[in-house]
Amino acid sequence: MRSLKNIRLTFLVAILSYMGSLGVALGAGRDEVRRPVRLTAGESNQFMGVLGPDGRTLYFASDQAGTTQVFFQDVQAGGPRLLHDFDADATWPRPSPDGRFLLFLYYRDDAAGDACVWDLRGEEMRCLTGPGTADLQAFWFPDGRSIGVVQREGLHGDMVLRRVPLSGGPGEVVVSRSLSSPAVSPDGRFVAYIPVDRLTEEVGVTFAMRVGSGIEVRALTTDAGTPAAPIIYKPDLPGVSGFPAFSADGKWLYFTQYLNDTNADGTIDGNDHGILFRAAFDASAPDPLAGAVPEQLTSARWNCQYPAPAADRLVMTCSYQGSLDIYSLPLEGALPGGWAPDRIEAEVRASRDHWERLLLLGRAAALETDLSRRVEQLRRVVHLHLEVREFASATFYARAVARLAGEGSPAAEWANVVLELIRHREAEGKLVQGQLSERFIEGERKRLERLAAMTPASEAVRALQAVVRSEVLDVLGDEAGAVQALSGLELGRLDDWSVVLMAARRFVERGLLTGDREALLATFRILSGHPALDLTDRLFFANAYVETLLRGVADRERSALVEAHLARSTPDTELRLRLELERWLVGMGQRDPEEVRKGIFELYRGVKDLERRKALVLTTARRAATADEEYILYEFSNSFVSWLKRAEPERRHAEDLYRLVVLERAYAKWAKGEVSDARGLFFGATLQSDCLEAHIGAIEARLAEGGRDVVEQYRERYKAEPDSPVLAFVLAYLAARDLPGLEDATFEAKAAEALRFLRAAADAFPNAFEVHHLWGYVAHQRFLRSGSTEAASEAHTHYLLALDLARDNPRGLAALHEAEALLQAALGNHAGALRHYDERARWPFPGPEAEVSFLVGRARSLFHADRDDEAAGAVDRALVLVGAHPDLARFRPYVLDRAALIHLGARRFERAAALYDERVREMDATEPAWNRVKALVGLGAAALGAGEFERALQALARAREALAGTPPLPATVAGRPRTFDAADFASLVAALRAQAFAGLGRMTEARDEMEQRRQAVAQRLRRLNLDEDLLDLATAHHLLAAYAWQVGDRTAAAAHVAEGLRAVQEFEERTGTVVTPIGNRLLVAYGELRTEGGGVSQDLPADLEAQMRRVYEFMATHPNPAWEADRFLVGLYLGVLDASKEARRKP
Amino acid sequence: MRYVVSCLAVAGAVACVRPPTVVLVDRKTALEEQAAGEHPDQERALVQSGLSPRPLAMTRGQIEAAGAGGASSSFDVVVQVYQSLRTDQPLVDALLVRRCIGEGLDGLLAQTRETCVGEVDPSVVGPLVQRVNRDRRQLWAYMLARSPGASEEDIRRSWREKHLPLVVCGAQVQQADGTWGVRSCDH
Repeated sequence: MRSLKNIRLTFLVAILSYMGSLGVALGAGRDEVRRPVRLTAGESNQFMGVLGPDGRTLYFASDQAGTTQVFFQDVQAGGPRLLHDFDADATWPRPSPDGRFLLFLYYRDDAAGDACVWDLRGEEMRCLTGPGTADLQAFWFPDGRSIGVVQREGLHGDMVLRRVPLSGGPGEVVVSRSLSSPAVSPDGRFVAYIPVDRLTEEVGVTFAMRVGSGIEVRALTTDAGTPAAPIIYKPDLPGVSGFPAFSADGKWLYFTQYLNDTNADGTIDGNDHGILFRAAFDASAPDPLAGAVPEQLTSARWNCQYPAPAADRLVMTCSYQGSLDIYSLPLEGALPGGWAPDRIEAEVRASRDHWERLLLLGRAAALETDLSRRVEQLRRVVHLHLEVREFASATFYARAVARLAGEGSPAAEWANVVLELIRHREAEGKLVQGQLSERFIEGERKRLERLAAMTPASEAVRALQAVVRSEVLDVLGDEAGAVQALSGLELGRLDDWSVVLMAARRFVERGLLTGDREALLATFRILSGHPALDLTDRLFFANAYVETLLRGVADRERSALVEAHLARSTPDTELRLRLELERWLVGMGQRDPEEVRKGIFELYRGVKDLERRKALVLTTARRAATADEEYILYEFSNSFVSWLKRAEPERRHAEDLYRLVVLERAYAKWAKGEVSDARGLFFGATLQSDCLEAHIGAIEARLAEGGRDVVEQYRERYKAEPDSPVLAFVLAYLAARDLPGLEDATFEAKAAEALRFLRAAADAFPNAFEVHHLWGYVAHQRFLRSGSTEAASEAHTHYLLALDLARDNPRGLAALHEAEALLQAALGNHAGALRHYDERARWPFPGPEAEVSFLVGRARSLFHADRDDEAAGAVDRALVLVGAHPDLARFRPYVLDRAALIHLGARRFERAAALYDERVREMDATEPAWNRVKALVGLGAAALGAGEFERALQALARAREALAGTPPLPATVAGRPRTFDAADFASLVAALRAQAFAGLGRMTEARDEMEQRRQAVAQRLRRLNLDEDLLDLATAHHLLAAYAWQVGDRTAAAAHVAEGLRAVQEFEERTGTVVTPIGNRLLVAYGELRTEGGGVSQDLPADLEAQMRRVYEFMATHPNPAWEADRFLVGLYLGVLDASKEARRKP
Repeated sequence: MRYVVSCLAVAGAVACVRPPTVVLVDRKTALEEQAAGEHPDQERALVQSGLSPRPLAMTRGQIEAAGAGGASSSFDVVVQVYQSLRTDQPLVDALLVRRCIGEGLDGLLAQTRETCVGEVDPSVVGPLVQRVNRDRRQLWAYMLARSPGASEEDIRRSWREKHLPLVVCGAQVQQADGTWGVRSCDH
């Protein structure tokens, strides 16, 4: 068996290689339903995006910093930057026509909002409106010298649209009615807006408004100079409109339409899902929107708003899969404008997405000029809306069917019955906990009366009438009536596809409820051969038959059951084909895969049409994947994609299937070390689809084989298309993968080259995660070289975009999460890094070195996030891995050093000391001298923490000795200025030795060492004047006081406590920090000394008592659990001091 | 103004355990600078080992063995056949297999949040279960009215006996002793 597969694979590779040599390549731009391109990324919300006049700068509002602020970024490179810290909410950004100013709404000095402009060159701001008005929305007039502002005067006042000159002044009212979202045409002649009205006279329009009908368009200039009456455009759509916006050429009016009550709050409004549309606008016509048919631009699967059409693209804000971000589409929207009805129909058949089908059918209906065919398209639209319970849209289009078809026509009769069905389902959906209410029952009884009163001439509609009646009675609990209503209905005699499907639902629901398998099978048998249904539907029901037949049946009984039903089936039917397929599928996983393949392939060859082959291949693929039959999966995905013409919409899905299957096989070959086979498979995938991941795999495999001719091969392959975006991506990839090994002198040029190629690739593949991944990688490498925060920001943006696009690709996600974790850790954002490390941890590692990298990086972030135990566990695991793999031995010094440090930081002193011992023992002459000093100091500190004072002293003595002969430290560490120099290390050693001596009771030596420490800190303070050195000085005094106290030198102890408190006092004066841990310890010592023996000692300065009282009051008024013990003690000593003073005052 | 704590100096004391009121460079950062050995080449090499310009080469078997999942969602979409008729049944089946709901002994669907695998939208599952159970109750009431002498319990039991063979393999079903089990089709 294996040998046969290998022969086949080798043959396939040979064929594919031959095809490759012929220069077979795919064009990059796929003619397909377009997916919006995401422009912003991040865990926060990005919204109200608009492009500047340069076409490259994207301005948008974001809440990533908590408040809403205005950001900008290059639309392709990403890397958002805060426009300016305005110290308050700033939103609604609008660049001026000349790009010099940015208009926005600002809320610092006026909670109701001011319209302000920011000079982008001079970075100056001025506000054009003041606190007297609430400024709600703003835009530029095309002259660039004035702005339009929607204002409200007073809390309950009405709104007006005012034109305000940039030069200042109150301006003039141009529309004196309440409105929302105004937009001005590019020629300045028209303003479009959404009219709003007061709901009641008592309350202002802002608090209770009713959105007016449609979009009002008003001419701003008239020949007579008098205000023009507005034109009202009511798009032929369900729901309400919002956010009108003119295209840059003034020929289109874009807007958002809220079609359905998607949040089920009983109202269709701006809180529901928005869909973008546009309507042709003829500025020369008396009514510029007369007869304009709205074109749907986005799918209802996306919730999109704020259309901002630029010269070359439509920018919009969409909420998709939990993320609110800025996206773009071509100006004509998701559907290419040139598609003819038959192409749209083919796309409908190929589509896997219900809302995409609706988008396509909406366009098909708009294009259809034949009335009866248009009615038929709209009936399909009604059906699809009803299937997903979009009642408002279903109602709207059912009414449209009735209107277009004309009263008394079968379609109008159909629509009237369907409207009752829609209203019934809508009412049922609103029942609380599914329980029938009296109102509902009453309403449904009236519905039954209305249905009974209908006398449709069409037999199909009479059948539909019975179906709807049955459904209503069923919900009302009238089982007998529900069954009775269906009794005269013969499914097989119906001739209207819509009625057949609605009746089918009824029969299926009844069969499932009663658990009647035979009734269900009988229904599906009829439906699978029903002449009124199209082939897709018949195949669906044939599949439903087999699934119902085998549902809940033991595996061993399935084959016989299939054979029995096969014997009873009619030849040349969809059901027969499906049962014949099942004959082979039930044996999958048990029979010889080649035998199963042959059997299914015979069937495959026997059917020639797309829908049957598609059903056969997809059903086989699903089952083969479940049974882990990679061979069968591969064979059929390959046959199918090879058979389909490139222009066929289904081909895209076939390519995706083939790509997924082949990549799986290629990665499996790669894992087994069968690199040539892997290369052949990757290469094959590049021939069948524009899969960039496959190109990467083919390149890596070729390089792994020792090939050095990758660039030449690709240039040869694309010689007819030198500007191919695939070639650009490949060249970018090859440049990028070299970056880590390049010298600084050549690095930047190579990185720039990679980005140049990537820009070309990104234009063609905006939604390919591989492009953003690679872009992030190049920017990340730049950041690692230069420390540039701009490069880091660019890398971050593209990694997040790639993460969003790769959400179904675990291989991509694993690489991207690790890259983003490394980036965040390098930026010091360890909490953010850990979120990505945790995600990365879900997948395995390609090798031990990658795992060590992950473990050490994660351990460091855990360490910084104070998750010490987890950090210690991770770094210990890294140490084990390094020990287990000789080729990783070069990493041992580094990993051992980090392990010791993390254990020390985690206060695991014994383990830290043991690791430092190993570290010191293993050091050789090649190590930098400072590493020896640090390891010995670490050993000393760990031993001290473990209470091993002699061991600590020995290590610290060696550290002091090593320190004497060590060259100066480099001025920077990890790109940052070094704050700790040789003198500080000497001071540190003295401090540690002092405590070791104190631990041994050798107080004189302890005092001498600590005195060295004190002097060194004082000197550093004089030299650098750093605030924190005051606290180090206070700590030295505190320890000196403790040592003096232990040897009975009260005078010295009191002097050090006083000196320490003076240092703390100065720290407070400099920083405003009232409470510090060392300050509290000194205050406790002060209290102890002053109240010693029950009296009040006078040898400590009394003025420090005021400091004690101030700190106590601060702790009392600012509760903090960390201070609780100190607060208690300081309070206790203050009480004793007060009592003593009181006692002294008494005679 | 920078505020760096000399942590090693007081490693055995309490000073570094309590965070100071003002922290510009935290304790761990200071400790790292003071005590971490400098191995720039090894550090860079390990960072580069973790950075990849391409998806990681893992097999589906490796991904699934790690229990990570995520390897099949694109595949599921691609091999999806369009649903000509959308009923509640696929969702009920999926929820039964994920053990978010179960076929109860009383013949009703029960929500079982404690055994549920993955996340569910309660606003979808709740109404679905209520709707299905309402339909079942109404059916039983009708059957009871047509079965003189039978108790409601008899009706429910006989309905359940007929219904269970049609329940999807792997579904959560309540056993006679009241515990929840999984319906196997391998027997």
